Amino acid sequence: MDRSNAIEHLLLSRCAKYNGSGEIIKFLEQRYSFTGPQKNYLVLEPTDGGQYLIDNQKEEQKASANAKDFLSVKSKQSNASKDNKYNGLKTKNEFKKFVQQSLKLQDSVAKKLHKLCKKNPKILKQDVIELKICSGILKFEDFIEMNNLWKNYMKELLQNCKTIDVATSKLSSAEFVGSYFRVTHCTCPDNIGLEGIVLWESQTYVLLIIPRRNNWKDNISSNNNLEIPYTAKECLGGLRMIPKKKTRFTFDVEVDDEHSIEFEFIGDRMGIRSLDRANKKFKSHNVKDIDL
Amino acid sequence: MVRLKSRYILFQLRYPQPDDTLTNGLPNDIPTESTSTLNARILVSTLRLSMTKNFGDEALADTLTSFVIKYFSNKTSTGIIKVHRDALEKVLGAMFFVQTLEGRDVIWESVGISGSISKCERRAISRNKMMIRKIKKGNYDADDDNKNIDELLRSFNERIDGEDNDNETL
Amino acid sequence: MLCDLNILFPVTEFNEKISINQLNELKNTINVAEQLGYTHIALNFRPNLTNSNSNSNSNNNNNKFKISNDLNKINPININKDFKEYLNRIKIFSRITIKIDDPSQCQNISKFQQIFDIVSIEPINEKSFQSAISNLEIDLISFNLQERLPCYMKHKTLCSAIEKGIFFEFKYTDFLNNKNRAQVISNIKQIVRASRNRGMIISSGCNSNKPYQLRNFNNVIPILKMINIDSNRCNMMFKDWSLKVLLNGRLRCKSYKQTILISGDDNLIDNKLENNNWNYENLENINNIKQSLNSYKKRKSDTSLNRILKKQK
Repeated sequence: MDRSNAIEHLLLSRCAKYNGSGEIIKFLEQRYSFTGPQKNYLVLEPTDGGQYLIDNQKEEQKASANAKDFLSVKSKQSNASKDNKYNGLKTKNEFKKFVQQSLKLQDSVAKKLHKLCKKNPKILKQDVIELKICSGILKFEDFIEMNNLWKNYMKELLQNCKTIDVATSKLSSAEFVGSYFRVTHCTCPDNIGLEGIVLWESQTYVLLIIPRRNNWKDNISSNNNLEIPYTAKECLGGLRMIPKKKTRFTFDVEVDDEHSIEFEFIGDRMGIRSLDRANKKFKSHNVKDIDL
Repeated sequence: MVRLKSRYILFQLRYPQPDDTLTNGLPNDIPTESTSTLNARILVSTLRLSMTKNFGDEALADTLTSFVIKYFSNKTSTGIIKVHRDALEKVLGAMFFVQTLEGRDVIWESVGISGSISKCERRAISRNKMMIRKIKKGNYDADDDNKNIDELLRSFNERIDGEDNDNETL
Repeated sequence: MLCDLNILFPVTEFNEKISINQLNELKNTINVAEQLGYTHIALNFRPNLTNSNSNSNSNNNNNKFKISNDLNKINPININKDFKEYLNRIKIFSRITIKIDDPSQCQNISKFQQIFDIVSIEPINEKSFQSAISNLEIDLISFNLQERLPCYMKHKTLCSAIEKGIFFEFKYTDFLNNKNRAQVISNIKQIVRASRNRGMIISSGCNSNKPYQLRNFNNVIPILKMINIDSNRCNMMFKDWSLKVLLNGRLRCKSYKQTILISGDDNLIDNKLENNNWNYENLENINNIKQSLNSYKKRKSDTSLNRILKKQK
């Protein structure tokens, strides 16, 4: 043996088990020989993968098919990195897509209804949600429970508030998802008078879900015996995306069973995500952008 | 030749008294009467004085031609004055600076400016009508000085008829 | 919507109450203003805080001490009680004007901010002017225009103030005094030049016992035009910009840093529902009665949400 194994020899010589250097050399020779008694080999050979590989491939194909549905070509290329903001698996993007899809669906259904209305004018008088084409549209009634949750939250939040400054400062860092908003001022005249439950509040817009055939026209027709026909879009209800800029909302907070207090939400000054708003220190600004 | 351009100013004199009990019961917009001695000549001379005092001789020169009080009623203290178009702003300014008239404190308020006198007249009439409507409304609300208001109403009605006649004569 | 944001309130002390005579005079003045077509009026309370003597400083401290005690007793302008009859005719707001000659007095002002609708300041020297612009949350700066201005008006300082939303005030009664009229005009011209024709409002500054000093806005405009302010801006000084001052002040009272505000009345500056009754017996134990939420309570309105809930039942 040409290897001397000096270190092992030295170590084993300290050991009481071996008496002489001869034994040690013998042991070491056995240890490093190819045919010694303690040799254990685990031989790993490449295989074709068998059933596992087939399953794996099937899953990958499924995933890629899904991804194709979800994403544009651009995002598919960068599918590998999970931090990519276009990644379709992110909740935010999925939500965005859902909103866009349902808005699109609403538009197309409203157009169809409008066409149907020309043929059959009575169609808008009934509740259109029972029609077959409207099956995919979100219903206001499903979200009422959210509003109840929010009411309880408000009750807890404003329990001991007696003054305006305390109440408004608490509200400015509160969450508004679930509250019932009314649009009072907006640059877009179509949006004025909309009422609905807030589904989501982002940095620049508020997403409302509005009820069917229930808006300011109702109040007018009940007061003056006038009939103002609802448009197809109003009959349909559903989602509305309302920008915060130049828009003011009002909402009611219940104090007790009989009374409520009305508050106003100035969209220009709340242009910030609700997450960041909790810790934000607000400042007064020049009022030149707020109209009366 | 360029036509002479002129403007007509509808004005109203108000005499606020420091301790006024008259206006308390009545709603508002009731002009106080001018004294019977007040006439167009005094008004013109006061305005001219104010012009010279505040804007100098040059401004006074503008008021020497085509500076006429077309109509003045002592009862409502309203009137119409004709001025040259270029002098309009200075006359308005001179009205601003008038503080006393015949020893009484006065607010010389310009109500409307027009290029034709008929518009001014119409405006004066509609103003009076509005006033009467307000008094009637106040009468239903307040219900305290019925007699007084009735008398006032009668006088206003007469005045409007009179104004109409006046306007025809203009 | 014509505004006159400066009708002097006859009381000059914090603890003084307005006498019946003074009140009648004031009401008469307001009546005249209403006849002249004004719709928004601010009663200007000018407390006697500062004197140039050092002796009066101790007096000041006394006043400060009194102020800190009970916020409900500071404001002498009792809109709900004394001016009830104007409720649907003319909007009345309260305003305070404080003379400042020392920047250290500025701490006082934060107390006034939620008690008065408009907080304005009359700086006496350059130092206080600078500190008022940079540090304080105020709506208006007014000068005593009959005397020389405290300092040279620089573009930079005035524009920074306007950027913040602070306006400058002129009083047209200054023109009616024959005394020092030239000084007034030169001062106004200086401010107009330095502020580049922006951020100014005009008000009457009329004493409550001199209602004849009020003027119609048609008559004031030619005077302003003489000082090289164009007619659109003259209109803005009476209407839009004055409303902006009111809005700024009212938002401070009604909202938290202009984010969420209490509503229920007609518009952002309305004070119909507000509790302005300062002599009210303090049953609710609230530091500042104006901030009380109770007066804003209303019966639940019939929203479409309720209608749908009813339908479901």
